This record gives sequence, structure tokens and C-alpha cells, in this order.
Amino acid sequence: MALDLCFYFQVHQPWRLRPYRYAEVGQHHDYFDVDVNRRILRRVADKCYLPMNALLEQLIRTHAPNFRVSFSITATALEQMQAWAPDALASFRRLVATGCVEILAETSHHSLAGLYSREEFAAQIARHRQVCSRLLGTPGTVFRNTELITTDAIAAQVAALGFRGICIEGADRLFPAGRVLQPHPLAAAPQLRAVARHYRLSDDIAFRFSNRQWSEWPLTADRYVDWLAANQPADGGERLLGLFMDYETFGEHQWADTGIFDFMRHLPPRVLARRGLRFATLSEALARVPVAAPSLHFPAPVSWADLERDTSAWLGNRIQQSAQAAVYALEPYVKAVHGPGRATLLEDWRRLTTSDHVYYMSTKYWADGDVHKYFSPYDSPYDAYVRYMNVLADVAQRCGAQTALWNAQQLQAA
Amino acid sequence: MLMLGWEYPPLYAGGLGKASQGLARGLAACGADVQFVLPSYPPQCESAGLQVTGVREWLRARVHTAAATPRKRGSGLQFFKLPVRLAPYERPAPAVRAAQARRSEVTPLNVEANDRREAIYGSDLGRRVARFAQRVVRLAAKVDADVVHANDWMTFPAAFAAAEARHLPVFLHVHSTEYDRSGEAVNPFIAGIEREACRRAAQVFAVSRYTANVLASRYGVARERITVAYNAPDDDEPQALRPAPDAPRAPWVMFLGRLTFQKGPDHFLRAAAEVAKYNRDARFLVCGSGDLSADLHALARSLGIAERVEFRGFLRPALVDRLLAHSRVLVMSSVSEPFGLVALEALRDGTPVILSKQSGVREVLGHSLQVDFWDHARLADRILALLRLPALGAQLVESGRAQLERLSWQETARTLLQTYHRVCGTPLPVDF
Repeated sequence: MALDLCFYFQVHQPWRLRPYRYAEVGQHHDYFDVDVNRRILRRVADKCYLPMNALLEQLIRTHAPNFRVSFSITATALEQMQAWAPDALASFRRLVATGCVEILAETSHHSLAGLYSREEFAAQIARHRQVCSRLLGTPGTVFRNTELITTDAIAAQVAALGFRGICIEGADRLFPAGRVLQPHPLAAAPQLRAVARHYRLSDDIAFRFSNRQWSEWPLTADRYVDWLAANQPADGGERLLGLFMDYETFGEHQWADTGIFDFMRHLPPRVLARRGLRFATLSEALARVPVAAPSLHFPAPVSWADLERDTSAWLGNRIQQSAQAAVYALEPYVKAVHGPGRATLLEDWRRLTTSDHVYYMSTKYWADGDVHKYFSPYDSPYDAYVRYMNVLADVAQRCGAQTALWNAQQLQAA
Repeated sequence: MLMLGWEYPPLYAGGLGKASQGLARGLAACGADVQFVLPSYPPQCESAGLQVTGVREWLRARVHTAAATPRKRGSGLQFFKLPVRLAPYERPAPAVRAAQARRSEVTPLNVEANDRREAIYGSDLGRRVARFAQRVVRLAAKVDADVVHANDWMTFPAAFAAAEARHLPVFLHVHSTEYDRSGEAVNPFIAGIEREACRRAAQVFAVSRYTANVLASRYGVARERITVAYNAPDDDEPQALRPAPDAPRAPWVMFLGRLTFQKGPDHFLRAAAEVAKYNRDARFLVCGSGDLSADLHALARSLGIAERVEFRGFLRPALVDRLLAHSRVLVMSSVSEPFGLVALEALRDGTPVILSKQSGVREVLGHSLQVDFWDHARLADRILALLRLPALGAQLVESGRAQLERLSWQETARTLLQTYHRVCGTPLPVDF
């Protein structure tokens, strides 16, 4: 009888675009802002990856083998670390080598391919396995899709690709009270098991921790452990609790001076001192905790974003839909190119499938400014769209897809 | 209140006339008793726009124009037209300006002195500003008012003259400053009026934070003496004039405004030349008249885009609407734009806008493309994007309109009324 606490941390960095004018189409094929990307990666490595990895490694060694966590790291983040922060990459590798850290599978480029292209979705999952094997020494096991976006079609394909577990958002509309603590089968993929994020307890750390207006501020490890323990099953059975969050929570979203590192330093000993609480990787929890009925249906996409927990942060307006339609309209043309330029073109195009590019185009909170604005390197969502579409025009020219791009652009969705 | 303003109802799209109208109506709708005084024009000149030169017969004083505004009859809004020829944005002739520039001491708000010095200034405009002031004083003697509200510099001397006689507080409403209109080459006579009026006013309303910054930096007006009161879209546009949102649009790129330094038509043409290199279909419509007209024709020729540019001159409002409704984008390339009502009119016609970052309207219209007026390459890039990406224009119009719905003249009028009461130390009505 126990409650398995499943921490999973998401690590991702996009390849941000440099200012790219339409006048450069056909002239320049370098789209990514090396200086900005290097600077941001270096900053995040110094403020988050390196100090938090060091803390986790120390906690793992102190409590071996009882402190266990999971990570999902995109290929775009791993390759930028390889280029500009090899120290951070090495520290992730050391974490994996402890045997107490599980790596999850996802798309290599943190894309929305699962919603647009079965072929590319599978290709990016395969590419992620390769990169993780090469740089971290292990491929992913349990699957998580970009931003936990899940649909019936995605679930079915993930199962067909051989995965047994998938991370999903514990959205209220999916789960009756209490059911979020058990794996669920999926209607579209009966052999696949879904592990749900407990959004309240996850966001207590990821969003509310430093909020001085929050009635629970300042949050202590002791009080948080009480909240965790309150989810122990009364019937003495096995349950799990998904604590899924962006890794940048530690040191970047919540700065060091908020006490977030101290909180995490004190959490494991207090959890392990409680009867019935323990840490587990996602695979371990899936193997231990009995499956609940009924099966989950996803008639519409469910994600972990915003209050809506849907895809509106990426596909909520016309320009976002236009940008995604355009980039996937180029797929067959990019893949039809053979010869020496193929690998570079394919990688450039894949970097443009990264969901961050359309996230920057969100107008949901634009007028009032908000979390979206904070994460965007652009003056406005419209600037983000124009720059992106300028780059796509050059990609289209490189693979002879000008007409296809033009036609895709004339569609006005929404 | 006694409000000194401009042509009513507005003679053409955009500008001071529309703003004065909006303010007056908004105040009346809030229950204020507004007596609106404006210089009048002969009817035949009104129909031709703002050309006031060469006309001898003036209307008689105190023409009540309720017929022009049947909607608002009995609403507390009353009109007086005074027989003085004054047009917004009117400027002294260049020779006069040069003469004025040589003068150092100016006491611009003293209309009597100005009147006597008209030989020195040699300015017909200065004389008419003074005459307007004299008539307003006479009129004010017959009008019961608590505050005087003056719209832009040509009414400032009149406002102080009228207020002095009655010991009334003067509120200035700055829709544009001499520095917006002329850059560094200001007319010292006009700048002097603006500076002195701001110094003496009970409070100054600015149409944007941008204009508030200009007032603070150019005239040294303390921030707490400036209240920002944004313009708003027209509330009574006839629906029938609006085009269907999905109507096909030509690859027209439109400039709409006076052809003056302030409006940046030259920057528009330089960006157009960039656009023309990459888009063979685009045509550029320059709508408006002004002192740069001949220069702009020459510029279009030297940029090699003369065949792609149509100079349409000054247009009737209905024609402006029709052209806007068929254009793919309106470009506001102003060097200094205190607000920019034209952007609101374009959105109303379903046309996306590119705004100058040197403008006030961008403060209330975040859903827009914004560029520095001098950044021709970036402006061209944004025009090219709107020409080829229909989703961009559709999203800008949809979100921009939603944002503008939060603005209204009545809300702006409430800001004015709150400020009157705060500055005068009188309590707001309980039902406010």
C-alpha cells in the first residue's frame, strides 16, 4: 500500500529565428539566431540545468535508491546543449547514469506533428530515440507528446509504435474525482496506459510557489508533503501521483531567491520519512499501480496549457493555423529532395515544426500581455508570424514548393 | 461648458473635426450641457473640403445648426458658428513664417497685442485667430458656463480671452502640437501659443501618452497636469457603407492623409519602391493633398515607381471608404502622429493597418503591425506580408476591432468630466 510520486521534468529549447526579411528569400538560408539561442541556452543552463541537476544528483546519492525522477528532453535542447553547454549535457548524462532517472520519449522537435502528419510524427519519435541514445545513452520508454497534447488518433499511433504508457493532463473533464491517481486505458488504444498529471499539486510548485498573493505562500516542504499524503488511498491499494512540470520552474520561472531550490532540497527526506509515500519513475508506477476503468476518450485534443487545457495556445487563431498548415504543406516537397542538401533542408524544416514558433503567434492574452508575452522574443504575435512565413517562403523555394505554399497561404481557417 | 472646436459635422475622414464631434457628443451623452463654438465656413467651401481661401462672404454670427445634427436635438448640445475663417492645420504662408522666425519676443496669448502687431507678423492667420478670440469673448458673455474646453492651438487664445472675462478654468485638449506638424522647423508663433497656453491651463488633455510625452519634453508641462484622453471610433457609422468582410480586395496599398512632412508620405513611397521589387501586382494609392504634392510626384518618378503610384488627391468621405474597403492594407507612416484616427476608420472598413511607432493610436491598438516610420525595409516587409498572407489581415482586423470596442467617446467624455471635477474641486454627481 503506497502512493507513488512521479516527478517528470520537461526540458526543451526551440531554435529561435533571426530577423528574416522577405527580401532575403532565395538569398540566405540561415534562419536561426545563433547569438540569441546560445545566450538563452547558456543562461538557462547556468540558472536552472546545472544547479538543479547538481541538487538532484546529490539527493539521488543521499537517498539511493529511493529518490527517483523522470525527464523528457527534446532533441533540439540536447543538440543546443551539445553545441553551447556541454557541461549541462554531461550533468544530464551523469543523472541518467545513476539509474534513478528515467528518460521519456517524445517528438525530437517538440512539434505538433501528432495533429498534422502521421508520417512525420513517427519520424520525429524515431529521431528522438536516436538522439537520446547517442547523447544520453538511453532511448525513452514511456511517451509524452508535446505539451501533453493527446487525441484518440495520437494515442492509437503511439500504441502502434510500441509504447505501453503515455503521459496526459489530468483535466477535470477527463477524470472523475480521485481517478486521476490511477493509470487508465485509452479507448482508442486499449493496451496503452495513461498516467495523468495532478495539475493542482504540480502547479503549486510550477506556478504558485513564488506568488505572494497566494494564501498558501510561502509554501514549505512540510506542508506540501501533508498535501501529498492526503492523496493516499483509504483502501490500502496502490496509487500514483503525477507531478509534471517544466524543468525551468527551478531557477528560471521561479528564481533561486524564491527558495525553490531549498524547497526541493527538503522535500525528498520529508517524503521518505512518511509511511506510504515513495518516489517512482513512470515505468515503475505503471508496473505497480492497478489500472482503473473506464477507458478515456479524447474527442478533442487535451493539453496541459492554460486554463482551457486545449490546443488554443498554439492553434487558437488564424495566423497560427495558417502557419501550421503552411509548414506541413511543405513536408512532401522537403522529403522529396535528395542529394547533398537533403539533411540540412530536412533539419531546417523540422526546426520550423517546433511548437514554440506558433506559440509566439498566440493572441489569446496579447492585448493584456501575459505569460505568452513573457516567453516570446517578438514585439508582437504578428511579427512572429511574418518572420516565420518569410522563412517558410525560402524553404519552399529550396524544395520547389512555391505553389504549394501559396495555395496553403490562401486558405483562411477559423 | 463652453467648448471651442472645429467643423461639425466633420467634413472629411480623420482629424480634429471628428475628434471634436466625438467629444461633444460624448459629453452631451454623459449629461453635460455643451455649448460648442466653431469658426464657420461658407457652405460651398465646406463641400470642397477645407479650402477656405478666396471666399468673401461669411455667415452671420450665431447660426444655430441643429438641423445638421437631428439625432442630438435637445440633448444639451448647442452650436454656435462664428464668422471667422479658420481651418484646422492652417499655416501662415512661408514668407510670413520666415518673418515670424526672426522675431524673438512673443506674447501670443495677448490677442489685442497680436492684433496690433499684425503688420509686424504680416499674418492673415494670426489676425483671424485674434478675431475669433474677440468674437468668442462677446459670445461667452451671453453663455452660462463652468469651464472652457479648447481644441488645439487656434482656439487657445479665444479660450483664455473668454475665460478671463468670466474667471473660468480653461482645459486644453491637444490633438496635435506644432512639433508634430513641423518637426524641428516649428513656427515660433504657434509653438509660443501652445507653450504659454499649456502653462496657464487648469489641466491639459492629450490624445495619447505619446502626445503627453511631447508636451512634457517640448513645453515642459508637468506630468500631473496632463490627462490622457484617447480618441474613439465613430459611434454612428451607417452600416450600409461597410463592405462585406469577405469581399475580394485588390493588391492596393493605401496612404491616406495630408501630403505634409508630418504624415510621412515620402516614407510611404520609399517603402513602396521596396515592395515593388518583390510584388509585381501591388499598386500604391496616395490619397490626400498638401504642400509636398509636387515633391512626391518627383520622388515617385526618381524611385522608378511612377506607373505603380496613383495620386488620388483629396477625396470625399464616401470615396475614401470605398477605396479603403477595396485595399489590402492602409499604411500610416507618420513622422509624428498624436493619435491617428484614420487607423480606426480603416479597421471599420475591414482593412488592416500598419502603424507608425511614432503614433498615439498604437497605445490602444496592440493588434496591429507597427514600424518606425524611417525603417522603410521593415515597412516594406510588412506590406509584402499583408499582400500575400490573407490570414494576417483577417486576424489583425478581427482582433483589432475587438480591441476598439472597448473605446468609446462616452468613456473618453467621462474622463474629461472626472478631470473637470477633480481639478475644480467639485464633487462628481452621485449618479456619475
